[in-house]
Amino acid sequence: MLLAVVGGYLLTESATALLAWALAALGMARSEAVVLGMLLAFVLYLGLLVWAFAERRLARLWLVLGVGTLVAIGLAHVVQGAA
Amino acid sequence: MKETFRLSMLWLHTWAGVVLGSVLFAIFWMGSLSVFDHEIDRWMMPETRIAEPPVGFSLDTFAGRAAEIAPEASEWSLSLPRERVPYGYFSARDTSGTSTHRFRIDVTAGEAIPESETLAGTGFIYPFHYMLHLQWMNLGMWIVGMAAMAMLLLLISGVVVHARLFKDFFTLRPTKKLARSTLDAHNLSGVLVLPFHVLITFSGLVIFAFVYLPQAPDLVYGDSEGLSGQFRVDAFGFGHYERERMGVPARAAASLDAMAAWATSEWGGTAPDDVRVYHLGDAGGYVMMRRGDQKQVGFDRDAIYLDAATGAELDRFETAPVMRAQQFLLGLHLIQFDHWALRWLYFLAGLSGCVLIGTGFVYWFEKRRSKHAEMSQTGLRVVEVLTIGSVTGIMVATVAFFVANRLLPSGADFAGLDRATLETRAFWLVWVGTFAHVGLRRWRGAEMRAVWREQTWALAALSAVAPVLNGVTTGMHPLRAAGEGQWAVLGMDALLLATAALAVVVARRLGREAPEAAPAVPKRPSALPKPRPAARPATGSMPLPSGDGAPEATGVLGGDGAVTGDETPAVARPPVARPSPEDRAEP
Amino acid sequence: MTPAAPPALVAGLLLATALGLAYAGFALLALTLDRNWKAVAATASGPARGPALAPPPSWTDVRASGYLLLALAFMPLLARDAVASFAIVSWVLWLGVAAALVAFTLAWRPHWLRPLASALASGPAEDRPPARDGLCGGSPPSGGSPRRVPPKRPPALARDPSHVRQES
Repeated sequence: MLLAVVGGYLLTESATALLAWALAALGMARSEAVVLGMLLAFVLYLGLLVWAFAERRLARLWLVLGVGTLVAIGLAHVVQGAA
Repeated sequence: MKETFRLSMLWLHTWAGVVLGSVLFAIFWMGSLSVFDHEIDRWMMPETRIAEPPVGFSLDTFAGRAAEIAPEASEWSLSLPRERVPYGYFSARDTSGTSTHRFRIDVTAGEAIPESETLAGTGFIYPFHYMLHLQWMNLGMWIVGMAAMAMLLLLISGVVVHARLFKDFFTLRPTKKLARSTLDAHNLSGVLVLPFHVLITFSGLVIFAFVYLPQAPDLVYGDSEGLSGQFRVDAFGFGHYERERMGVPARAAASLDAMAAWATSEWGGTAPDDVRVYHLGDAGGYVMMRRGDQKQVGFDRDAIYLDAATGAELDRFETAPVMRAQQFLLGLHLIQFDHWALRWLYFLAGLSGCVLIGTGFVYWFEKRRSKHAEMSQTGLRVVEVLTIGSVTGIMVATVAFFVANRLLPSGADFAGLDRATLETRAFWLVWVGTFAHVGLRRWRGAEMRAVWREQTWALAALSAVAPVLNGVTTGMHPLRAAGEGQWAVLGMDALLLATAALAVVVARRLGREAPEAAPAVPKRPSALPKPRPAARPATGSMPLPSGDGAPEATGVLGGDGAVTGDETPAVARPPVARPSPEDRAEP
Repeated sequence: MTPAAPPALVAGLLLATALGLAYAGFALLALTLDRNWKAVAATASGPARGPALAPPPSWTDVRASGYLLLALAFMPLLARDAVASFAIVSWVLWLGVAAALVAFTLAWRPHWLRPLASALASGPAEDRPPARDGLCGGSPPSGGSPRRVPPKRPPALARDPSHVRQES
């Protein structure tokens, strides 16, 4: 439960930032990329939550949320360093 | 797979509902009231009951008055009056950067309206809706955000769990037993208003996306300024155009009214609703006019910058497409537009959300009772206290807040607390009191229904007293309010009286049907063996759906004349335990 | 394009028209559902009330008309507001109100829908009207089935109704 809520949030938060960065890198106006990312973030988080509560295999949950979050945070750091 | 998905959604629906239902009810209740936040302001702030400014209000005349009000000002800003707000908001800043407080101003007289000694609708009820008045580290906002995510999850899981969404689309069976009729009401208020619930919850989250997801702007802009950096300029157009003082006195001043008229024609007839004048008296002076958004759903960030001396356009800001979509969602949620029919519909839909949550709780209790296990007595008690306190309790506390507003004399001061604080303290005290009331009464063995009934009586009494107090303390009784066109005051009084009337009906029904429910027991085999002493009220609480649904329905029914006429007698009359022959031909 | 607001009376009439259309649309849709049809048809089965009603041979037209009316309800709202965004939001919310009113009617005053049902009915019912469910023919009688355990989710409302058994 906590894993779903917190893990899902962390993944969403970093994935949103990455998505916004990618959109901006692809040529979208920066503010537009940020806002679009934020709009999509809630859909993503909602999807993650529904999936997390329906998923019976705890290991897979850990894998996706944990690894996903770590990868996203790592990428964000790389991006930030490059900027 | 499908079945396990449904089961996990059922589990999610149940527990997310029980855990966050209280918070969600408070949010929906305060949100529904916030639909009329300015009207509540009129009622709670008698000093703001001024006449609407005449159509030909002149910005140039106002600018003259502004120079008298704030002689030192190098810039000032005015939010213009609108349909629901007869006054403007004014603030000024001098060359050293010191700003005045933003205050209410009567734009026709050019005079500040005396500071209100209350937080009223826009200062208390509306912030309650989104941050629960828990300021510490934005805690309240985060709780509301979590509750909103939970609401979306509840809606999704509710649709998944709902076995016969379309077959039961219109089904409401008030004569069936409590669990059934409550579930019907729960489904009905969830399904019929589903688009509203989804949109209002989603758009609510979008409003505070920048709080909940702070990382994106920094990453994209490569800074750590978050919202205060360039992002703010690009997205919102704050400071989109700026120029320095020239240090030379202005040679001329163009007419603000002419600028507004020009901007209006540029915007296809939409007048500006926000005017800012920068570098007053300097040759570098300029004016910003922001496009009004009272005649459309979405907010508008479009702005035109003009030279203060010549009135020529310097620059303009146009909202970008995605931002426009975001501002549409904001407008959809915050309903600052002028549309009375929609406003009432929002109010009704918001209250239907209260019904949804309340009936969800009652259904949960009924299910727990019929299984009467799984959960410890203590746990059940806690949920009982939370439920009653957060359903009728918050209503009682809200009306107590209104009453306190009319009772406290101007300049009241007690234990170092000013009048506005005393009012909100009254709200919190009464609310805590309602929780204590439930706990104590249940601990002493009172039936659930008796507790509901007592709180409903309290609601009735307070709601009846409030309009009287308004008439006595401000002299604006309903007749005079109608005569002077103070529809906000009249509407508040009317809704309070309607609430009182319906609360009386509900409370009396809750009292009357105690003995009637007894014969109904044999119809429910599951209700027969009841080991707990508290079990009697369980079966005796047949009429609870009204006890719970109706206090909210109070507002609902009182709100819309069309519904009232059709609905009130129906709610009030047919006793739950007596199905009439024509009611249902079903087995 | 700031549209001139219509006078209050016209605006009110337009609102009432929209609500009426939406109510009629939902009433039709409600009658295509087995449970509601029976409830309304049974209001006539009392001694002095005339015979019970048999359902129409096909629900397809009824359902289509219902949806059409719901769609039509948008027009008066658009005429009233002239701003599409207001009209759309109003439409969604008024549909909810209309559906709730239909549900209340069915719960407390089902006989109000009796004239509508008579207009649709194929005639007086036989002894035991074998009414079928308009949407998902073949599910068990509604009253008796435990609601939370049906193994399958119901088909969507808009699903092709060709499988509905025809009655005459």
